[in-house]
Amino acid sequence: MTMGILGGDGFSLPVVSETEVVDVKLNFTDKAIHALKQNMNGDESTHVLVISAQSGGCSGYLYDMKIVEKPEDEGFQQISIDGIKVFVHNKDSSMLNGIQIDFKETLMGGGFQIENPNADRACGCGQSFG
Amino acid sequence: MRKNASEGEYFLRSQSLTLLQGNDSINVIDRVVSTRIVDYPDSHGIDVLFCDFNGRITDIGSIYKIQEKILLLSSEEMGNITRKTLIDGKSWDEKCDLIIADEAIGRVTLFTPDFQSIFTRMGHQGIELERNRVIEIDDMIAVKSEFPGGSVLDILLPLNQMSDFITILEAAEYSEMSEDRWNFVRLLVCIPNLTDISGNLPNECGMVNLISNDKGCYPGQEVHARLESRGKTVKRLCLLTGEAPISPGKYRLSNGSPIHISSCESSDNVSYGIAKLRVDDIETGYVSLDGVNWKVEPITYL
Repeated sequence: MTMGILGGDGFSLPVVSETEVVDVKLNFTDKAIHALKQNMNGDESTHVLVISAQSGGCSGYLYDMKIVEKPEDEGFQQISIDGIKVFVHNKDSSMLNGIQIDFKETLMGGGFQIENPNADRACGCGQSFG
Repeated sequence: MRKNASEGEYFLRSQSLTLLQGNDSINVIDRVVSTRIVDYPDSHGIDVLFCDFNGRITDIGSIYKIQEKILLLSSEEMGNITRKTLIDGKSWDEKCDLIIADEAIGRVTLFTPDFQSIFTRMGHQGIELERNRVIEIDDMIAVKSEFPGGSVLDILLPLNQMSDFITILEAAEYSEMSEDRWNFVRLLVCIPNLTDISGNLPNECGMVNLISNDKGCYPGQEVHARLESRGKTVKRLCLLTGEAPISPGKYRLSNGSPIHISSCESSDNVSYGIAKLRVDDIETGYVSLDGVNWKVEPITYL
C-alpha cells in the first residue's frame, strides 16, 4: 500500500508567524455603541464582539466583525465598551490598535465604518485596508 | 513545440512547496489570489497570480487539491513572503495550517513528445493526460501543463523516492538539463518565470486568463477591473527569436523605443529572450536592436 505524496518525511511543523503584540485601544462613536447594543440584542452577558483582520480585499486586508459566544482562545485582548465586551486577537493587535468605529445609516446600506490610523491605504468601499 | 526541444529531457525544479490543511484552506488562498479557485474540482491544477494593491504581479503559483489538502507551488524567490501573506491573513477562527514541503516533495519537469512512455516503463498503461488534470500514480502525481510553445509533464513525488525515479528516467534515455539548457527550453516553450512577470500587470504578460473578474475583491482587483473595462495595454511581454547572442537588460530599439529583456538564452545559433516592449513596436512582428532583427511574438498564456 502506498502512502501517497503527502505521507512521506520532510514536512515542517505548521508555520507560525511572529507578530508584534500591542495593547489595543478602540474608539467607538455614540452611534456605533447604540448600533452595537441593538445588534447584541440583550446577549451582552454571553456574547462578545470580535473585531479582526484577515487577508483579502483590494488593499490586502479586510475588517471582520462578529458577535459570537465568548471564544476559548487565550490570545484575545478584552476591551469593555459601555458594558459590551469587545475582543481583538493579539495577532491583529498592531493592525487594529487605535481604530475608530462609527456607524452610518444611508439609503444605500450603511453600517459600521472603520477608520484605521495604521493603514497606508484603503479601498473605495472602506472594508479593505493595507 | 516550436523547435530545438530535444526528446526525453528532464529538469529538477527548485520551487517553494507549501501544504495547506484544514477546512478553510481554500478560502484563505482564494482571498489573496486573482484567480477564482473555490469552484475548481478536486484532481485539477489551477494556476494563480498573487498581486499587490496596484495590481502588479508579486508571485505566480499552481494549486493542486490532493486528498482534501492543498499543495501550493510558488516561486522560490517569493516563497517565504507568500507564505507569510497567507499565514498573517488567516482569521482567528479559520482552520488552516501551513506546512513547508520543500524538503518533502520534489518536482521534475519532463520534455518529451511521448509522455506515455515513461508511465509504461513504470508499469502503468493507458493513463489519460489532460491539461491541468492531477493524476495520482503510486506516491507521485503527474500534471500535464500547456504553454504557448508546447506541453510539459510535471511529476511531483516524495524527495526520498527521487533517486529511484531518476534511475527510471535515465534507463529510458532521458537526459538531465543543465540550468542553461532549462532556461533555453523554458523560453522556447514560454514557461513563465517570476523574473519575467514580477512587477508587471497581468494584461501586459498575456495572463488575463488568470484574472477572475467575477470573484469579488482581492489585492489588485480594483486596478484589474479598471483595466478590463477602460484600460489600454501599452506594453506587452514578448518572445524574441533571433540568431545573435543577447543579454538581459534595458536597451533602446533602433527607433529609440525602450525594450527590457528579462530572460534570454542561446544555443546552436538560436537565441530566445523574453522582453517587455511597447505594443506599437511589435505590430510588424520584428524589431531591430543594435542593427540586428528579432522576431517578436506577444505571449498569451492559455
